[in-house]
Order: sequence, then structure tokens, then C-alpha cells
Amino acid sequence: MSDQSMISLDGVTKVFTTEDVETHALAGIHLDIRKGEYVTIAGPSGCGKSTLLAILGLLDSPSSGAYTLNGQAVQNLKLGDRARIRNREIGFIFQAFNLIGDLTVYENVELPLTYRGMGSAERRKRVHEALERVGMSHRVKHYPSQLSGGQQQRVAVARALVGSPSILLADEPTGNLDSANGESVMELLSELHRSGATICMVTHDPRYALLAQRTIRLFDGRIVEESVGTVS
Amino acid sequence: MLEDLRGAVHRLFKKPGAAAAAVIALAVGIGLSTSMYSVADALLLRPLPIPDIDRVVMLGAMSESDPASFHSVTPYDFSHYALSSRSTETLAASRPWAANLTGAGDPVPIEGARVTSSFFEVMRIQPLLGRVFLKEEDSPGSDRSVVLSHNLWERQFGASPDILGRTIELSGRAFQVVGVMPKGFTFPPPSDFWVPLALTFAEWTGSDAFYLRVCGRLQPGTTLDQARAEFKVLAGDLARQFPANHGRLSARVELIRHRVSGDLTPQYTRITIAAALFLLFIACLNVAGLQFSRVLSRTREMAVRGALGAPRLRLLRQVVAESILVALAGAALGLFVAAWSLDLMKSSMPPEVERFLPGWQRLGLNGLVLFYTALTAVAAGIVSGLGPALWLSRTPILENLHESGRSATGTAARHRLRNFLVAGEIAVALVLLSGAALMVKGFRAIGRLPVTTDPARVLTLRITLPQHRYPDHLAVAAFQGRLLDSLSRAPGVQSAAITSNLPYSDSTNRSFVTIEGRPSIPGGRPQDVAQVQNISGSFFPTLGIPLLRGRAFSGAESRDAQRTAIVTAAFVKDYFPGEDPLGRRFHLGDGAWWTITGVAGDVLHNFTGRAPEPLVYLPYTQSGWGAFDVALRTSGDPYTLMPQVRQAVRDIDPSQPLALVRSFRKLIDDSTIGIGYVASILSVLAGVALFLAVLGVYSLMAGSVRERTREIGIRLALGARRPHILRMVFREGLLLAAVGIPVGLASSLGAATLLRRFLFGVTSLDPLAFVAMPLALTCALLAAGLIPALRATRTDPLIALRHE
Ligand SMILES: Nc1ncnc2c1ncn2[C@@H]1O[C@H](COP(=O)(O)OP(=O)(O)OP(=O)(O)O)[C@@H](O)[C@H]1O
Ligand SMILES: [Mg+2]
Repeated sequence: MSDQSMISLDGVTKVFTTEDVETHALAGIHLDIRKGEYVTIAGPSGCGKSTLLAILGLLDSPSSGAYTLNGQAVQNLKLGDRARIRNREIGFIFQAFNLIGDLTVYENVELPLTYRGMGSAERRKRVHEALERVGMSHRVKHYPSQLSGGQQQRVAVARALVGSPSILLADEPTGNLDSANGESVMELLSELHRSGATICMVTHDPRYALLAQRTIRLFDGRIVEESVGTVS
Repeated sequence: MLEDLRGAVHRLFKKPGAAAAAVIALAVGIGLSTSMYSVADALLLRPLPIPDIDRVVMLGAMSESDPASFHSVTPYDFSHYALSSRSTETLAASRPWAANLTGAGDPVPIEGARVTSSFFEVMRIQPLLGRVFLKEEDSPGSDRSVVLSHNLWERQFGASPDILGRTIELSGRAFQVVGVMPKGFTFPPPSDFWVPLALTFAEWTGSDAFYLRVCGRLQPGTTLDQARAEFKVLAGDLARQFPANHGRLSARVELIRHRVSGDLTPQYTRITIAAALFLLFIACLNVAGLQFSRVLSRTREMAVRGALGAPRLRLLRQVVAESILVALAGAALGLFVAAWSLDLMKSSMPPEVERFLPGWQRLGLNGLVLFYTALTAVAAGIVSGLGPALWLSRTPILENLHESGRSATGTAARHRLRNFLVAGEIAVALVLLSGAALMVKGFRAIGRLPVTTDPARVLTLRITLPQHRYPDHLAVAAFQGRLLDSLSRAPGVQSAAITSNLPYSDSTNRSFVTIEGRPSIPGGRPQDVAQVQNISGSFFPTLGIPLLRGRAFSGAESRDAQRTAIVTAAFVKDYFPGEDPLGRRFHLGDGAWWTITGVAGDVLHNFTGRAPEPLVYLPYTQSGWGAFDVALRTSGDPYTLMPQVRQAVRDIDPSQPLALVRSFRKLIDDSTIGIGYVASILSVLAGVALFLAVLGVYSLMAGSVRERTREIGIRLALGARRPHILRMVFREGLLLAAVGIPVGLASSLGAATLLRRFLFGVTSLDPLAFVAMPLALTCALLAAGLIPALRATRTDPLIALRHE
């Protein structure tokens, strides 16, 4: 485990048991992600990409193995502590955008800060900065249903980065977008990376995988290949 | 339409749980309102089994100072009315008679009436057996016929078919049974027999004694108002002719069905019907909420159908058809609820009370009631289906397609109407809850009224001495004196008293009062009325009533000596404000002057009175008649004294029966049974309402949590903790309460002013009703929200990663 490692997984496994069937979704994952890295996870359907991302994002806990985040062992934390770390250290970008339909763009982006208990003036400043960065500051009063898919995903990106998390986790962020919108979201992520963000993204698309510094290939819950991509 | 129904059945069976919940809610609502309709039908619309009951009226004298009064009339008045009236085809007079049925085992006290032969003509009722009275039986001498009520015939004569022609003894006089009335006929209630009135010519000309009750049948084509106008004129004739005692009297004409059940029954019935309809309304809101969820879950399908060109009306019809189907199923099940609750009500009604409820015996489901039920069900179906259907029709198709297509988490707008429904349920439930609380509180307050000290230690009973064996006051007073003497010496008796009517017993006697030295002719103070009660001197200690001033009756007051009276504080307040009443004199219309020798504390005589009425006590030795109550204060259980009391009466007169033997506590309780009944019915309805409101809130919040699962997952993924989620879900429930409870509270205050009108001890600002009930309701609602809220906190945040 290197000193710069922000994330370190050591022998992480995940077993799902349903109706006496055991699925070994992850089988001994060793993975380090350094601050400022841009990592993509690729692999065939069902190989465990989303499961890995869920564990990285503290949405789920490993069946065994150790997970160290910013020097803290987090694999056995209680629900409330996990939520707190999720809120401060992790920014999620989902395939289905997952904006909350009853909240405006502004309120959606504000949500993680609200859960942090931040004061409203500080929140306003941060929300506007984040929306500025994704180029959506002109749509603060809109509801998600009034936006295109690409715009929704930009708002989702703003929501992920508004709390200045240690890492952005994205699960096929372009899966629900056409190629033009997809590319512009990818552009946005690259830009964020260039300005210092740590990103871990699941993708099927080899073109997008190339944007990253490092691609991890999963097969049957194991890392079968790690390649260093060419940074364009 | 048939296709709509078939589709509706199909869809309902797809989600049997929700459909069953809706059907049950409506079954309770419809069932309970059906049974309340039945009560109203039996007690108010057709209290007596007589044809064209809406043409039969009662006629009475009304004091101008009290438009609510309804006095009996004199024989002369009756003759005048009968001869002159054009608005009625027949008039009949009756006079209650409490007789003792003797000569058939133990003597039994029964109540009946002496009636003119025209009585049965007015009622137009055919006897079940035999005949009714002939014209010639109106004359004294040929008046020894009796017609029995169905109830008495069954009770006392085993429903024997050869009762006709048998001779029975009423208070020692022989009467021949000539007829038996059909079941359910008892008028004036609680009559169990009828004998000819047969007044003498001299009696018919009497214009001083007001003792006849008059009923009549309106001439075809005559309205009630025309009759009222005519009798007003006729009463004017009498007032001119007899200014001294008719001067301030007018005539009052009312439908018999409004008079027959007393003043309270219609009000009670209206309250219970209103409560049942409120409950039904809650049930409708509940079903509307459920329907709304169904509609929501089909929004997309409907939108697609709409996009494919299905006419909007068609879609509306589907939703309403579903609701009506649910309502009809509810009604079918509701009939069982109704039948069962009616059985329960009938079997729990004590016979002492039932006697005074004409129509109660025939309480049950009938065609008219079923018609109401069907009407209610269809109305409930439309009410509960229309809201969701209208919502659906107002939402543009595109929006539905759009919403369901794009964002699975946008639901707030769609919930607004349903929230509104549930807030409405909360409001209506609160009205029922606080209304019931007021009723129960009022009922309890009655039980705690300071009638007397320790009424459970007092034994009471009623004795009715037959007139032919106790023809004058002397004979009666002799019996009473011997009885008092023997009872007060009995072991275990602390004191024994005689009174013409105990507080809370169903008889009261009021009389016009004229104070000496004050004009009793128009222009002066209007004639006033006070209750009159004859008592023995021991009455005050026996009932524990304080004597505030002066002295009690000694028991030695003789008829020839100065007549003395004790008045109550309320009497002094009304007639001698700021003056000393002792030594002052008054008369009660018959010219005999009574001198006030004492002032006693006030006693309430019934629970509807807001304040104690003015009352005068007269010594039983100077006034009174053969029907009286006996009260004994005992040191222990009063019922253990019963054999001694029976023996004491038998020693004086072996043929004399005792009636209504019970503790004074029981007497008070019996007199409040009607209101207790209403209170318990309201409590049951309020309990069901609470349940339905809680169910409504629960299903709303559970449904909302279910629909928001994904949103909750996303929030958890973004770092929301349990308290955040709990707060979010509860806020929705609290918002409903925050809207529903103030609205309900305002409506309850309105309802309270209505209830207060006829319930002693109810205040509009009752903390139980207006603080405790809203709090209890809020707690119940929070509890209802707790399960869905806890379920929400257990949502798996992983759900956010799934792609729909
Ligand atoms: N909650 C669960 N219960 C049981 N099995 C699960 C659960 N979640 C995932 N799995 C199984 O674990 C394995 C890995 O699933 P995962 O969702 O991580 O795959 P993936 O690589 O993200 O696939 P895709 O590219 O299709 O999204 C699969 O076999 C899946 O069926
Ligand atoms: Mg996946």
C-alpha cells in the first residue's frame, strides 16, 4: 500500500446468497487508487463491475477483505458512519441520472450539502460553483423532467462534485445517452480530472476507457488485466 | 357499460388486497348508516303502525310565554274544538291511566289510556282480534270494555286466542276484553290497554282541569299550517271566554310522529345519522384514496390508451365503474353489518326504556331502508370514483406519458389530490372523535350531577292506588301515613319518604303560579310555571337535599290548616329576587293560597335542563293523589330491604302492587340510558372513524414510501442518514395532520354548539374534546406513519445503481 493511495482494497470478496445459490460477485480484489487518478473498470456483463463500485462507494460492504479509504479502515463501519463518509468522500454519478423529480436542479445539487448540515449561504455558493462547472447554472429553477438527458447527467455530475469528494464514482454514466451527449459528459469528466479530481468509472465503451489513465478489466469477479491508457 | 363492469371486475381481482380493504371500509360505513336509517325510519318516520301517519296530528295548549310547551286541554276545550274544527275530519281525546291488573295472580301495574271511541277512527287502525270501541261506549255506564296491546296480550295472557270476551280486573274493576291491537301499536306511549273515556255531561263542560290529550286526523287536502291557523282562532275563542285560565294559552298542532317519541328521540336520531354519514364519508375518502392509487399505477397504460385514441369518457367510466362496483360490494356486505348492529342494538335496549320508544319493536331492515342503502352505495361509489377520475381527465396525456417515461421519482404533483383526501379524512374523523368525546363526557357529567348524596343507598319504588278504593285524598293520605310509619321503623331504614315524583322519574307536574299581590291579568308579569312536587317531611334527609331556610314539613299539616309550601332556591331567584320569600303566598290556579315556610336547595329533575327549574314542594298531607314514589335511605345495600317493603305494603293492602322497584342510582341511570346509548353509538362510530383515518394515513404513507423507494435509495447513496429519511417521510404525514386537524377542530367547534343545545354538562371548550382528541388523533397518525417510515429507512441504497 503506497502512501499516496487514497483507496486501497486488499483481498476483497463479495458473495451474494439467494435461495441457496452463492454468487461470488467479487473474488479477491486487490486495487489501489491514488489521488488524482482516472481509473475505468471494464468487463463483460455480470462480471462484478457494479458490485465493485458499490463497495468502493460504501453502498455495500465486502464479505471479506480490507478497504482503506484515506487511511481509515472502512469495511466494517456502522450504517450511519458509512452514510457520513459517503456524503463527504464519495460523489456518485449514475447511469439513470437519478435526479429527484420533485426537486429543482438547484435543490438536487444542494442535497448532499444539506445532509452534511452546511449553512445555507455556503451551500448556495457551492451549488452555483458546481453548476457553473458543468455549464448548467442557467437552469437552476428547472425540474429534471424539463431537461434533456444530457443536461440531466450534467446536473448529476454537479451534484456529485458539489461536496468536493475525494473520489467520483460513475457507473456507465453515458449508458442512457446518445453518443453526442455521451461524449460531452465524458469531456466534462476529463476536464474535472485535469483539474485534479479522482475518478473511477465503469464503462463498456472502449473509446471512453481510453480516456482514462488506467483500465481495470474484470472477469468473473477477478481483475484479469490492468492496462495504462494513453492520456490524450 | 357492461364491458366497463367486466373490465372493472377483472382489475379488482388482480389486486384483491386493496379491493378487499376498500370493500370492508365501505361495508362498515354503509352498514352503520343503514342501521341508523332503520332507527330513524322506525322511531321518526313510522313510530306507529297507523296508515297515513303524516295526516295525524296532536293538539295541545301552548303557554304564550313558552312556545315549546305542549299542555293537555280541558274537556270543554276538546268539545269546542271537536264541534268547530273544519280542518280535521275526526278528533279524539285520551287520558293516561296507570292501573293495576288484578284478579290474575300477583297484581301487576300497567299503563294505559282512557280514550273516546273516535280514537281508533283517528288512528284508522284495525284490531288484530275483536273490535274497537263503539259510539255507545262513550257514555258512562256502558264503558266496561277494554282493548289490549299486542305486548300485554302476549306478556300477560300468553297470546291466548280466546281472550275475547274474558273479563279482566283493572284496579279492582271488571272490564271485558273486546279487542287486541296489532304489534307495535302503543299510543300514547307506553299504553298497554285502552278503555272508554266515558266522561259525564258535567265533566264534559269542565273548563278548569287540563287533562285531555287530543289527537286528530286532518281533512283530505288540508295542510298542517291551515290546521294550525284554524286552531289558533278557536283557541282565541276560549281565551276570550275563560280569560282567567285560558288567557295566555294558544293552540299548538304537531304531527303525531313528531310528538310521539318525545323531544329528544328525533335529536338523538339525527345526531347518530349525522355521525354515521360522517363515517361513511370517511370510508368514501378512503376508497377514493385507494382508487387514486390504482389510477396512478395505471397512468401510463391510460396515457398509452389515450394516445391511441380511446375517448376520455371511456377512461373515466372505467374508473367510476370500478368504484361503484366496490361500493355495491360494500353495500352487500354492509347489509350484514347493519343486520348485526341492529340485532345488537335491539338486544341491548332495556325494556324500561323500550316502552317509551314507539316503533322500536319493529326496528329492522325494510324496503325503504334498502332503497336508501342502495342509493347511498351508488352515491358513495360516485363520490369515491369521481375525484380520481377527474384528476385523470384533467392531466394531459402527454404529461402522463412523459412523467412515467422519464423520471420515476417525480410524484409530488400526483400526490396532491390524494393528500387532500386523507387530510379530509383526518378532519372528519376529528369531528366524530370530539363529538363522541363530548357526548361521553356529557353522559358522565349527568352521572355525577349532584342530585343527592349517595343515590346508591336509596331504594325507590312507585305505588299507584286505584281510585275506586282510594276515592279521595283522605284515603290516599291514610295509606301513605301508615306506609311511612311502618317503613321508617323497619330495620336498616334510616329514613323513608313519599313524593309525588322523584327527580329523574319520567313524571313531572308543572303548574301556573300566581304570586299574591301581583297581577295575574294581562299587562302584568306573565303567568309563570313551576314544578310542583308533593312530599313528606322526611324527603329532604332521605334524598340528602339541604333545607336552606325555614322549616321542613312536620307531617301533621292537615288539609284544613294553613297550607304551607317549601320553595327552591331557583324559585326564589325567579319570583323573589332580592326579597324575603318566607311568609309570602302564591296560588297554583285553583285559588288555594300556599304560604312559603322554607327554602330548599336546588335539584335537577332531568339532564336536559341547563339549570334547575323553579319548584315548589307541598306537604303530601295537604295535596296529592294516589300515584306516588317511595324513597328509603338505607345503611347498606338497598335491595336487601325489598322483602320488608313488600311485606309492609301487603300488611296495609294485599292487592296493592309495587312498580319500578330499584335503587335511586338505577333510576337515574335508567333515565340517562337514551343518552348513554347515543354516547356509546357515537363512541363506536368515532372508533371506527379513527381506525379508517389511521388506515387512510397508513396506506397513503406506505404507498408513497413504496413509490419513492428509488428516490430514498438515491438520497441514501448521497449520504442521507436514518433521521433524514425518517424526517422526510414523517413530514408528509405531519403535513396531512397540520391541514386536517385545524379544519377538523374548527368543524368540531361548530358541531359542539349543536350538541350543547340538549346535553347538560357539555361545554364548547371542552379540553377532552378539543385538546386530548386532536392529540390522540395526531399520535395515532404518527403511529400509523411509523411503520412505513421505518421501512423507508431500511431501503437498500444499492437500488440507486440499478437501471430502473
Ligand atoms: N443483490 C444481489 N443479489 C444477488 N446477486 C447479485 C446481486 N447483485 C449482483 N449480483 C450478482 O453478482 C454478479 C455481479 O453483478 P454486477 O451487477 O456487479 O455486474 P456488472 O458487471 O455490473 O454487470 P452489468 O455490466 O450488466 O451491469 C452478477 O452475477 C449478479 O447477478
Ligand atoms: Mg453494472
